Amino acid sequence: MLSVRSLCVSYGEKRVLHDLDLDLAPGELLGLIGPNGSGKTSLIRAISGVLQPAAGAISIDGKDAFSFSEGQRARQIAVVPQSTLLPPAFTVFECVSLGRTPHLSWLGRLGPSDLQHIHKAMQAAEILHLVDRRAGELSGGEQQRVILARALAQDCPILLLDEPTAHMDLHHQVGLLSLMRRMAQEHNLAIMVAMHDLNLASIYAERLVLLVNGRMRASGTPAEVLTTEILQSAYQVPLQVHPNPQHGSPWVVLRHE
Amino acid sequence: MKKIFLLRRPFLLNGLFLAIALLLSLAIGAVVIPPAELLQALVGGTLPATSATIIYEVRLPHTLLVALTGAALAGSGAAYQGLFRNPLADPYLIGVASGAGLGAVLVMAQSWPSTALGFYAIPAAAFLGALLAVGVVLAIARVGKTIPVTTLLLAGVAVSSFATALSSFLMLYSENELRRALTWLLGGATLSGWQPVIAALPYVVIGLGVLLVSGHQLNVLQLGEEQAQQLGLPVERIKLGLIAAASLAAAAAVAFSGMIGFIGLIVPHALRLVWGGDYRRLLPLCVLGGATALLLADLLARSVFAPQVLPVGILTALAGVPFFLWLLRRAKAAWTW
Repeated sequence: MLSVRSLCVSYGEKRVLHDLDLDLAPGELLGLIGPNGSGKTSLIRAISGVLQPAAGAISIDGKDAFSFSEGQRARQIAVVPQSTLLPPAFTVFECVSLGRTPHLSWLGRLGPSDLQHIHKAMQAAEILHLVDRRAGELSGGEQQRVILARALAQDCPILLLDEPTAHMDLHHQVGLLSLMRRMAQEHNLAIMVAMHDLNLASIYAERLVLLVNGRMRASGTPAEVLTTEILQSAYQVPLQVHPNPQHGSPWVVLRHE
Repeated sequence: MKKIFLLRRPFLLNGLFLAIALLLSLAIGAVVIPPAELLQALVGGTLPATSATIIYEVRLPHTLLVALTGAALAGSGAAYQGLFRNPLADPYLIGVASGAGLGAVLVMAQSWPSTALGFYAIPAAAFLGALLAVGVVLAIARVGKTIPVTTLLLAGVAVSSFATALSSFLMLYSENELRRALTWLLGGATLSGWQPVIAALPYVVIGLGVLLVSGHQLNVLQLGEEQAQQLGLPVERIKLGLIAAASLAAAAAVAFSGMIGFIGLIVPHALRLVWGGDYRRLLPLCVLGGATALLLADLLARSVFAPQVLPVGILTALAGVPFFLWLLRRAKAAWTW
């Protein structure tokens, strides 16, 4: 269980997150939505420990996350960052195996159980066929799946993904999100996904948090958060929310003027 | 690329090259000693008295110092490239060379040393100058508890330029010693005798030793510092430790051999082109390959205009750069770096 209390984050003088409270429970898939610059990435960076918050508390299973070493935190939280930066000369296998780092000794030697985790992660991310390819030869979407596999290989109870579907085609977007839902349910992972596609968020997330200008604008089920009124004020575009004809979840449609 | 047998055994291949280079370096000189004799001596036979003197007093220490220098330069070059994720990084990037140069020129400007003690003042001053320059660069680049790579590189360039300017000024003032100082700066200062080998050895061994066991950490750092931390690496401490180790090895190399360029840049890139970017493999290969490359360059430097000896730094550039460009042209793929 991850809980964030009164979190404030600043870049220099500029405050990007104000007094944020958030809980993420095992087995849950939480969608993090909001316009550009609303603080989604900053929230993920602060939770993962690479950004020092100005105030507030973060705890994992009741323990203060700030007291964790880098290694301890990396055994609890895996992150799929927005950037698809992979060392181009590394093979896909080498990239994914780096995900085992928090479980390895200084020399980084992989044991049989590490290899098993790596294999399972590559299978889940549908990149087994790329195993010997160089990262520099891959498309953006393939690189994102490699990064996803690396995070899965890290084998953490908490998984944070920052716009993981940005470069993916529709097939792999759907594949990733249904995989995340399965991972949450079957492996009892706590998963938070920052995303832009409101309709995918509506279908796959059980709970949504909407950030606007560094503050929580709304939080709750997709039906509670994805309303015409809330979304129009958050995104400043004319839109309409209908019930999805297939399963009744909110369906966001742009209004043409 | 066709996978021939030896290409799949990089350590065997590079070890073999190094053995050949060592043997050639011992055999060739003003007096040529047949390699067969050398090999016999290696397995327990005895050398003729004159050959023995040449080998043990002159060529063996010289060869070992050259090999150590090459290994230190290529190893630290690879480490800097990995640390800064910058293909242009070389062992001198953050002030080692210009600091060493300033230290050495400072001593030379006092008057060219002729006593034994004075003679060792140059490498000592160069070594201290190198470490001092790196220390100043690190102190300037520090932002809070972190050392951002861009600030580090910019501080390195600034401090290097400043130290070089000071060296140039000093050199102009001590005109008489200009030529000798220039020779030193061109990498023609490899000292003779056993003492420099013994003096350089601990620094090179410690520096390279730390780098050699840190291949995995360098691999993780290739993902960027933020992701490296998210994978559990104490990034700043590791960065600092690796910078210290690489600088120590490079400083020892510069102190005892002068400024030898391109080995630290070309050897890691050439090996990376053939055997990929995994630092657990690349670093030991660079140690072997750097020693081999500098031994061969030194051999050329000693024999092309014999009995005159060219500064080896000129040769590493003259011979290394065309070879490197040829390699670069051959590797068409985008994943070379």
